Amino acid sequence: MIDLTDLTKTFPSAPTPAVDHLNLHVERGEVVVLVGPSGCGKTTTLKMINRLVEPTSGTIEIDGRPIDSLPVHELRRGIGYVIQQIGLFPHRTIRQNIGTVPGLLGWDKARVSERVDELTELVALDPAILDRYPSELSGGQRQRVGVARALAADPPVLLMDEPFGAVDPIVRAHLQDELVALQQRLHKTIALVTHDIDEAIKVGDRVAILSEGGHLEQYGTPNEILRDPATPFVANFLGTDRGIKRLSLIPISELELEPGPVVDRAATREDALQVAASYGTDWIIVRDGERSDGWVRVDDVPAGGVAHVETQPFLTRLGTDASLKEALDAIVSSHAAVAAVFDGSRLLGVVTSEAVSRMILR
Amino acid sequence: MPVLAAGGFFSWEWVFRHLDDIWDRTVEHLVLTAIAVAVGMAISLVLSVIAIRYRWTFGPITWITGVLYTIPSLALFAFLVPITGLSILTAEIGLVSYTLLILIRNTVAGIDSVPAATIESALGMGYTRRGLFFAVELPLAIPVIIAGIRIAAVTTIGLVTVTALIGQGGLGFFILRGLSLFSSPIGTTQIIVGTIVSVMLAVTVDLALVGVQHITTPWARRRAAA
Repeated sequence: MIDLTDLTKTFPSAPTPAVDHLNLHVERGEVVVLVGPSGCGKTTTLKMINRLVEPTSGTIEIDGRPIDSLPVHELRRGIGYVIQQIGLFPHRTIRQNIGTVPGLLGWDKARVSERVDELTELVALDPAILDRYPSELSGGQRQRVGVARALAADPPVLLMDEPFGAVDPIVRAHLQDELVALQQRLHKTIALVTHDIDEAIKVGDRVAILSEGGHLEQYGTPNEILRDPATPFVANFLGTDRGIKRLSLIPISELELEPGPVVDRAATREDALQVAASYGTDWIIVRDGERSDGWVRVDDVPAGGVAHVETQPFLTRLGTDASLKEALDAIVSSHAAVAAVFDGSRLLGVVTSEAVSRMILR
Repeated sequence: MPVLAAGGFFSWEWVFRHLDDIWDRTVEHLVLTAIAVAVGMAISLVLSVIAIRYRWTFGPITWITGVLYTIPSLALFAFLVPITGLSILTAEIGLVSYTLLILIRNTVAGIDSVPAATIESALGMGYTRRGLFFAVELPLAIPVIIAGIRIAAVTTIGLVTVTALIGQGGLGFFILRGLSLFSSPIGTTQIIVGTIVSVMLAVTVDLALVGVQHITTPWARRRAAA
């Protein structure tokens, strides 16, 4: 969908290129994140795609067409653009802001208005803000307006330059989740620039890691990059916790769950001790038919058997869609050192830290 | 009905007998001012666009208009009368040239104050340079431009009184004639009327322009009300 070929940009004032012979291919419908330290040329690269920066040499094609094959303003009207400071028009209402590109394209008023209402719903904005001015909105609201405005004319390609850089971490995490959810519905081709590797891992289908001077150090899925950093630069950029970072990408469903030390209500004290011993634990999970009530220390099981013991509930009940990172968190914060995985009230099994590290080493 | 019965210096009687005259001169004063500010604004807009587009011209433009601004008005009129005569043109050339520096500086400052992010996003969405100027930069510069127009208008209202010397002059006419009759109450009355009405005119026009800004920039009034 987007092809960068031998792309080079040298600014007149700089001795070395900002971007140096970069080759990158972005598939239709995927989110590619350009990430790297400041000065790595990621923003320059992004701005060359909508020609806010003209390359010194090399070519860019969108859908097989060179981007300079049509007038620059027409190219830009077909590409959504979101920047960190968002750049809403202070003198226009939110409704007018969102309707900017449809207006430039000459849509009639009724159609623009209908589209604005549609987008307001899509990005979960309160319709009451449509007649306000940007200065009256919170940072998170402005960011949503920025995304709605970029999507207004339904462009197939979206460029996002540090789109969540100006909001606080809580709002940022929320907006990242929203972008992922939005993309599952819209299937846009998105190039997103960030300096935050965690954001790259979270929202990117593929991640391009750039080092200073626009050198592409590695290009691959987040999992590939975390499992197998191509260069020392990448390993260093990912940080020392890349094992943990990878955990957030792998769902529990990829693990084979262990049943855990489970006993029925009918079990005797001896059964309980034996099951616990076979798992090397000092506790058991008590099952009542299909559902599980919780766990209990074997020492607390009376001579009369399991039938009437009081169980402790599991503090964290994970679903199969939870990540291994969440599982590990549950493991380290539970007395039993396992994470219990449920399907509704049915206990599917448990995850142990050994199982998690086996998965990571695979 | 002089304020002081004998040897008084202000004659209400003169005022009441000349209300029509005062009204006509006030209108004339306003028209001279309006022409000067309107023509000044038109020229300034063109020069500002040049100064913004070709940055190196900003220095020479402000230098030349700065020199114009410093020429004493009497000297300027004395210089122009042999060329353009005792005409409204002479008056307006002088008046317009005094508005340029203020109007250009404010227009350029107003457009420069438009946030870079706003411009970047506008271009990124596909505005042409011309579209950007008229739809984004100019509207956002309005508060600063109107601030310049207010100064230019008030200054011009003061200066118009001087153009009485070349036979124009609006309310300056009363002041000039009053000076020639200085020792009599009718003379002082005319000086006072010319001055007070001129000041009132300046205050009124200034307030009217504040109103214009208020109406044209509703967005600037709403700050974080949410």
